[in-house]
Amino acid sequence: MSLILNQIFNLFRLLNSETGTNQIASGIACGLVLGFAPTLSIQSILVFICIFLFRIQIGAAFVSAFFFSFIAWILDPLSSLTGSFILEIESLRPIYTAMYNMPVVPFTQFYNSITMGAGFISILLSPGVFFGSRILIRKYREKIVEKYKNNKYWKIWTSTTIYKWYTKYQSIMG
Amino acid sequence: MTENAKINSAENEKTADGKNNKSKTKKIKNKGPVRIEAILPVSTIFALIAVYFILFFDSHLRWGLEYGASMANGAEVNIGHLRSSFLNVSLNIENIEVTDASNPGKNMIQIGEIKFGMVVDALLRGKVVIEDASILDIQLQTDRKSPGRVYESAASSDDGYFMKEELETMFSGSAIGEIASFAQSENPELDLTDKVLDLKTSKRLKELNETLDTKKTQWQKRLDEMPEEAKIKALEERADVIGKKKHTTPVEVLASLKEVHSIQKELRGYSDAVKEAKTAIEGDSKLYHSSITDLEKFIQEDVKNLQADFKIPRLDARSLAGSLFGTDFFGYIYQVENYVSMARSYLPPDDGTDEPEKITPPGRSAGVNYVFGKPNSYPSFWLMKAKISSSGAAGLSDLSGEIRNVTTSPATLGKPMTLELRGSMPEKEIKDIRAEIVIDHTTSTPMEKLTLEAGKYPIKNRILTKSSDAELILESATGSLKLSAEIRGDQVNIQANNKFSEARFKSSAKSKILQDIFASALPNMEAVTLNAGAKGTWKDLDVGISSNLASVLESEFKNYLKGKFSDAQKLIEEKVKKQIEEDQKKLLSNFKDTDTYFKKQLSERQNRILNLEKELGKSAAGLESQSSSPIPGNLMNKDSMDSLLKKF
Repeated sequence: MSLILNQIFNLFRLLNSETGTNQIASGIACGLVLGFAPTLSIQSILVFICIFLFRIQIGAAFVSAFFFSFIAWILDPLSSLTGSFILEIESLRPIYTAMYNMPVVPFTQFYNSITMGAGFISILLSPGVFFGSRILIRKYREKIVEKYKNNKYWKIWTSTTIYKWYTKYQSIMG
Repeated sequence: MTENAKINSAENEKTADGKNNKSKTKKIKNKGPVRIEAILPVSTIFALIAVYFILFFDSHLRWGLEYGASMANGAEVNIGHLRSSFLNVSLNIENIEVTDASNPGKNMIQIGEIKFGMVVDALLRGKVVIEDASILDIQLQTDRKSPGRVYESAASSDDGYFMKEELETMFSGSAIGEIASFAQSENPELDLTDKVLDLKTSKRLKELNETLDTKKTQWQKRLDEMPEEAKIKALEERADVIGKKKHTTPVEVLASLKEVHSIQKELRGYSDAVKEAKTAIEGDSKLYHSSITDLEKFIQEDVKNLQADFKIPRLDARSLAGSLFGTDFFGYIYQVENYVSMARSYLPPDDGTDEPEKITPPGRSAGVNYVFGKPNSYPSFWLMKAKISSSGAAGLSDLSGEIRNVTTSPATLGKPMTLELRGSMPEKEIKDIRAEIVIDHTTSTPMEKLTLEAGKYPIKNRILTKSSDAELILESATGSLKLSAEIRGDQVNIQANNKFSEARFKSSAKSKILQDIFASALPNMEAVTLNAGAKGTWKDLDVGISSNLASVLESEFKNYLKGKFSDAQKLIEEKVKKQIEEDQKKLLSNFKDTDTYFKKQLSERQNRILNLEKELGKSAAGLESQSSSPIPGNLMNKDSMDSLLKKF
């Protein structure tokens, strides 16, 4: 739990800093895939491995997964229709049959219309979400963070001893 | 600065800010997309997992298996040693001791070693499939170092599934002891003189009296619904008028004839109503009379119950056989029921739905599950074949056999579980053992079949009956057993045939008569047979036990105790009959009066109707003959003709 909270705090720090745009954007994209996938499925585990293995912002991934899981729930009827359409493509039937009889693969629940539809939609949307997040993060930093930093109250706060001690502590502790 | 901030690449910073901060790029290393620093913690976690599996997993698995097996068995199960191998996907379990719940000091079964490997393909599908296993060094009824714990088994819970209490009552007590006590008593002094007995017959008599009152009301109502007296009388008067009338013209003849027909029609309606009421009342009366006749059964039941209350023993072979060997057979039934219940719980039969076993748990929402051909669906657990052998157990036993298709989902597999076991146990002097078990839960009607044979087994000091008055022990004998049980759905059929050859008895009795009976009957008994059967459902089992020992004892008891027994029985019968005599007489007389009254009423009405019918028949015949005869001249005037023509 402390790891997750730490990662979420890191996310806010990163958002308000001038660095880590790609990490946050890739975290949000991974969160999209996580939120759309069934809990504790093979695909979720694969995404988790990617998040831990590569430099993806974990806090961003968790927060966005939480948010996207609600969207996925709302989109379930659409996902089911999409999944049914994909699973009923006759030319892909031999592939599905092979996958259905493979070990491990059925654990993905690919044969379920909602899982297939949600998975397809999330993979389709993930590049868009990645690039869109990058743009939004930059805009946020330019428009909101800069404005906020130029605010007099912020300037007063940053000039206080407590803030200086805090920044000192941060620089030492990392 | 945070970890994420530190690892941020220079390139990333450029694109993010559009600036090139030289001082920062100098300080921060350009790190790649992979978290290299995570290798150490991840490796540590994996190392810890590996250490757990090497050092602790086997112990934890052993505890888990012990707990699960103990709960399933209802008594403690111990595993001596367990060794798992992830490389070979195999398991080796040694020294399994299964406590006998009915005798915690002994092991019901002790297995030296079980070893098996699992099918990797099935494991990757989350299933445990064992292609070939070995179960070695099986021993039965071995001594435990310390008594095992006994738990309350779910399978044998008192859910009213099995008629345990009824059978226990049937087989409880000691018939021989009761006979001994009865034989010992001087005379059956039954203090019945002033005692008012609580008899079923008395209750029945009261019921019958109440029923008779109800019947009386019903029958009277029926009588009241019949044509009234006045109506029949009116018809009689109308018929009388026609009979007395002198017909002068054909018109009058025809009019009278029409009137006769009208009366006959009305009378027929009355006659039908009376007949119907008579049939109903007579039928009812007959039925009631048979209820009175059935009182004899109640009297017999009361006599039987009183005999038991006053400890007058039953001298029939069935009761004796039940008393001598019932507990043994009850034990067989109880064990079969217990194991069938367990098998049905752990190997569930087909529930009737055609759905294949789910590969994975259901998803977030229901959605539609598409099926692409028949998946290689293994059941969750499937032991394909296990060889059983106990030849290596240092001469303790020489058993060999095979178990096939043990599975948690027989319906998915479509094959019944079978077990075959043959051999002998030299140490226990048990020879020619043959056991065959078939558990077919592949359909919605589960079937279990057991055949168990033991060619020869020793019997030592088996207590047949033991009480303060008498003791009968089968000191030594050589037994042979054939037990077959078939349970299909809820229908049970259990048969057991035992033979105890070279039987030697040890007996003692306080009563001289009983000593004589034992001395006369037992030396001639070289072989004792015991045939028992139970048929029906678990809730309603028809149990029958017969034995030649019981038959011999029955005839001997009857020879010695017949007079005494019949005296006591006669006394009870007389008391019962005397107590109900007055009520019975009253009931009979009441019924007789009622029956006679209603029969008389019905007969009177029926006779009156019959007489009237006869009279009307005669009148009709006379009038018809008049109308068909030539018309006399004096009747053929013009006015008459005109009038007749007008009428027709």
